[in-house]
Amino acid sequence: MLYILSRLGMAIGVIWGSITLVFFIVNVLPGDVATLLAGDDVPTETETIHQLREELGLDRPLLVQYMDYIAGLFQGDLGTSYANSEPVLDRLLDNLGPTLALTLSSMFVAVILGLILGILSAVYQNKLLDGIIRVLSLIGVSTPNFWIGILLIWIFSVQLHLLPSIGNGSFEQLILPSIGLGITGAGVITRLIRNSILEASNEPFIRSLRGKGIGQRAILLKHILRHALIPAVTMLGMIFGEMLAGSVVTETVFSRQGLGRLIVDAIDQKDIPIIQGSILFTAVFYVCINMLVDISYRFIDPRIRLNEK
Amino acid sequence: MIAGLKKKNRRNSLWSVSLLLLSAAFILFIVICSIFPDQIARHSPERMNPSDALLAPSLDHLLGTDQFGRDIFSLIVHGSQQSLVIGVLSVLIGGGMGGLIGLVSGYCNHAWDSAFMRIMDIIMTIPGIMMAILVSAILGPSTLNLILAVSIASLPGYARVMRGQVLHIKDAGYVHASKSIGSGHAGRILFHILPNSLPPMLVMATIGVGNSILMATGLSFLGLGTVHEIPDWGYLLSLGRDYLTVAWWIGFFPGLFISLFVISVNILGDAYRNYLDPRSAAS
Amino acid sequence: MSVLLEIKNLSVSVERGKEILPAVRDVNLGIGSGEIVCLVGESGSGKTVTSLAVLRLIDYEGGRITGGEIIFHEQDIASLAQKEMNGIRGRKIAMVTQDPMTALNPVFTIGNQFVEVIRQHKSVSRMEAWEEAIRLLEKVHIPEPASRMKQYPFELSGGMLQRVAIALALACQPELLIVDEPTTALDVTIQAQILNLLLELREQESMSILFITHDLAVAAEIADKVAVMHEGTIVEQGTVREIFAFPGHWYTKTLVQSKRGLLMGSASVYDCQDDEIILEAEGLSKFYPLKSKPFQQKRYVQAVDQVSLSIRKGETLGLVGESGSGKSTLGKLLVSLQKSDSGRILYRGKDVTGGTKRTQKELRKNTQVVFQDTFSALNPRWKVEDIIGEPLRVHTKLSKDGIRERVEEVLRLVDLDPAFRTRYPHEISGGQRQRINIARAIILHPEFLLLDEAVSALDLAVQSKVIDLLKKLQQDMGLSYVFIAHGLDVVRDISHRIGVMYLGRIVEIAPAEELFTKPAHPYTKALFEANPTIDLDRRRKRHVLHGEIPSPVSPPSGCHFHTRCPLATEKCRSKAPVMDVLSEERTVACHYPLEEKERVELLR
Repeated sequence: MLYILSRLGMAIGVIWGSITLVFFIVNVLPGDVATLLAGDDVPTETETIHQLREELGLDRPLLVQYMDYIAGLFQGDLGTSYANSEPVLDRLLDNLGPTLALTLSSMFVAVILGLILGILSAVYQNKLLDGIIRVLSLIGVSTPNFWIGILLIWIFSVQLHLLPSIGNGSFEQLILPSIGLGITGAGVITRLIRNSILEASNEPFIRSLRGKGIGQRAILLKHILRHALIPAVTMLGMIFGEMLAGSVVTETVFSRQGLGRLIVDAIDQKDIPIIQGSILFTAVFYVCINMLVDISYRFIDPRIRLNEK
Repeated sequence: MIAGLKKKNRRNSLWSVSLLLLSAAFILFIVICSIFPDQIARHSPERMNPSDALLAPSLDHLLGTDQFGRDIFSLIVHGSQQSLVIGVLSVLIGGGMGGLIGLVSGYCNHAWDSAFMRIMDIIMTIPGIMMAILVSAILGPSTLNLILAVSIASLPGYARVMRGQVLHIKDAGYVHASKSIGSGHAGRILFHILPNSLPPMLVMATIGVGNSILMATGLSFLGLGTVHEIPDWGYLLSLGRDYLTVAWWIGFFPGLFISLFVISVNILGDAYRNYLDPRSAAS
Repeated sequence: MSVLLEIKNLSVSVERGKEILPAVRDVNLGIGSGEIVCLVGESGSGKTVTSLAVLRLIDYEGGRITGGEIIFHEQDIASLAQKEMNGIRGRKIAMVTQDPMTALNPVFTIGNQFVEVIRQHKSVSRMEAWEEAIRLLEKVHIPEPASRMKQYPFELSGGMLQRVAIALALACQPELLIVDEPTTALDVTIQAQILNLLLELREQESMSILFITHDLAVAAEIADKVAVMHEGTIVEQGTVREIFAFPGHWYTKTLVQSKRGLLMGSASVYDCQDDEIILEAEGLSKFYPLKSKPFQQKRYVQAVDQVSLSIRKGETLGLVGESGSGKSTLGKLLVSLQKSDSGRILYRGKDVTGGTKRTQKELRKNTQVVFQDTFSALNPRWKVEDIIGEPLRVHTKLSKDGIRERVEEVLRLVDLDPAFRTRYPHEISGGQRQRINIARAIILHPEFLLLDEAVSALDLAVQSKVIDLLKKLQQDMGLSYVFIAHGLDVVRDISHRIGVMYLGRIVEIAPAEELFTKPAHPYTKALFEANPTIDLDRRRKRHVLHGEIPSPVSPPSGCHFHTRCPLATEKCRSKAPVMDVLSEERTVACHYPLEEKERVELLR
């Protein structure tokens, strides 16, 4: 319990840190929001820009702006969109659902595929199947997922007319994007599982288990796998973050609604508050997931739990 | 039985050696492309010719043409320079700064270490591509900003690896021995710790070139890349998406080049890792 | 005696990287029922490979039996299918693997692992298996077996775990027990407990034991029959008496002689006449903070506790003690590799604790260190000449040629060919690497050398040669040593005086021979009693210290040793004894030092 509390405290600290970091990147980097908003044809330091700055409150001291921003956050105010003056929070919440659906289903694809291929690859170490899986996972981690998305659309929608290529809402529309996004993660997980299984099977206690007449299958399924999954679990949080970020690109490829699209549109419109808000959202998600991973880790690995007693 | 074992081993190593050579050859080819694009590609990448628009791959246009009639192969060859420069420079900047932070963090006392590591934790909460989007959105699209964005995003990874290495090497017998001889901090860092913690960083940097290129192409796919006469690979790919139904080759070939290049870089990095740590050669 | 297992002309090949190498050639060995056979040899001699072949586990580790038979109950194990082997493994032949800390799956409780093994071989319910396991734990004398069952392996000490591993192997009353270096990772008092346990179990269960060890003395303690392995073949076998009294093969002779040499050729003559004190420690203490949780009081490990000692010119002070005794930390404090928390260090009468940069550098020039791990002590990217020359580059302004000249000179001093200077550490053997380490330590002509387990990782024959070198250097250069080791025989061989440490305190210091023949502290006595010896006449079941070393985080009150001391009284529990001068050279920290005969008898 004490652990969970202190972990929670740490998570809040990190979130505050990333809020601050993003704020300062936005406000301190030499790029000037007002100039950016005004567009290229307005020369710098003109009346228009000064006016804009005043409107956005950018002429106040940085620290005041920062305190204001933090105070706003406590009231659920993430600022207003430059583009259509809507509250940022509302826009984000509107778009959160589809992105979470995509991220979670891609996670599912990645974990299931990665687990199966990783185990197969380790069991058939240095055999043909292992070779094929290793090449596939290498391709998985090395291929840009937007290109995989484009290929999937071309094969399954354009050529075979099997699945819809764009839009969101239905389950069918989720299939191709999840696969497209999931493949990268699957590649990472496959390599991870394979390595940790091979590492676990070199543990000395495996030798003593064999020496006690325990069968190969029981050793693999009970002892090696349990051991190998522990390091894999710690990576889940990282992979989740990657997926969440990857959804930005995938949503663009498949013209899906979601945080990613929101960000891309915001980039076009130079709508900084939206970008800032979306990044904070992903950061919060990332921190929370990693906190859950850390806490669950203690239940999977008794060594961690008991070392602190 | 023994003979069988031997044969399999030989087959395995033959396979991985040829794969390695192939990867090295491909990387070399791309490097040559980026230095002498005009010698490799026959067509000018800037020549627009409406009568040649959207031609399928043929002997004249090996990989087809785009909607303006530009030769895809020429575009890829000429675009390679930009992708390569982004990949390599962002690794140098990100790896260099990350390495320095890791070195200081691992070598110095606990307070500095935890301060640096908390900052890295915070940077890590913002996934790489998000950080890159933010930075290039603020600074505006340009090659330099793209490099900066990718560097910052990859920084914590390098810092962590370097810190782990330094913590490990710091405790090696020869560092203690050097201390007991009476050498100073600078001598120990320069002659003992740094050279021995670099190899894993080099592995990471090799693979990092691939990752940086993936990230950079993703950014230019989103329109945050550079706006030049000659588009880079990522932007080329995003153009292809709109013509998927009529001209698959516009999107297909740039993606293929990105993938092949990143795969080659990864194979090279893996081989280097195995060379450094023969125990992991089995995996 | 009927023969239980007979190995005939066994040859095994093992895959090493890309090559297949013969690891064991033409091994013949018989094990009678109820017999303890010791397979003795250095690392890499093929002992473990042979034992793995008997269980056919070698198949899983990249090896193949290439010839010969292993006859067990009229069956040839060498040609059985793996499926059939699962009926023999654990049931008829059981095995205890090397390091107890890694022999059990860390993520399952002890009880779970027992139940799994018992139910693999017997059709019993979970409950029955659980109770059976508790009986087994009782059999190996584990206190509170029922609560141990619910613990995880890493919650137990090494000695306890080894008992658990043995109990687990006994689960199905095997006829043959294979134990691979079962005591190597353990302290000497715990080792004695385990050896006694094995002897006791052999009687009770009437089983045979194949005991694998690198330690001749351990073999002499426990074996009925000894087989000596060298480079993959058995060079000699026979009864213990035959082997140790009349070694036949040259290799066995060298082994026995180097072990005996450690006992006989000791530096017993106190030939160190110089009374000049080089290094002195006064009330040194060091504690390490433990990682604590928030809202909890910080806890410390008291690694070194108020230690005072002095080292004379040309003298070797040995430091012995079991793990957690703080001997290594004390060594590091002496050469200022770590800062002490209190107390001071005097170098030639000058206080050098936390001195200025200049005095530090001066001290570093005159005090050098040689570590245990010969490999990690050498920067893998440097050539030998750069490694040995490093001190010269730090402290002198010699030219390149000057350095080379000096390097070649010290290489000759440590009996190495000067041509070694162009090699890299991975290209030379362990013994040669340690000579390089020594060469680097002496190149500046220091006065004091800290030898921290400097020969412990070396094989016996190499070990005695390095010891000879150290003795020679001491005479020629007038060096002072602090020699830290857990192997008592080595310390006895090289030291003039020996300090015995227990839980951070020195409990006794005395001239080497006197300490061994007339120990004054009960712990010293127990330590020496537990030490195995190849002197067969002393072989008997002797007094063994009970219990384990307490945790240094919360050491016992009063005299730290009172929890295990058979002589302890109320006074020992409440009041810590101070160092008392017994005679001119001897000090001891005990309320009841063993001088009178009856107290010695009490210990029996």
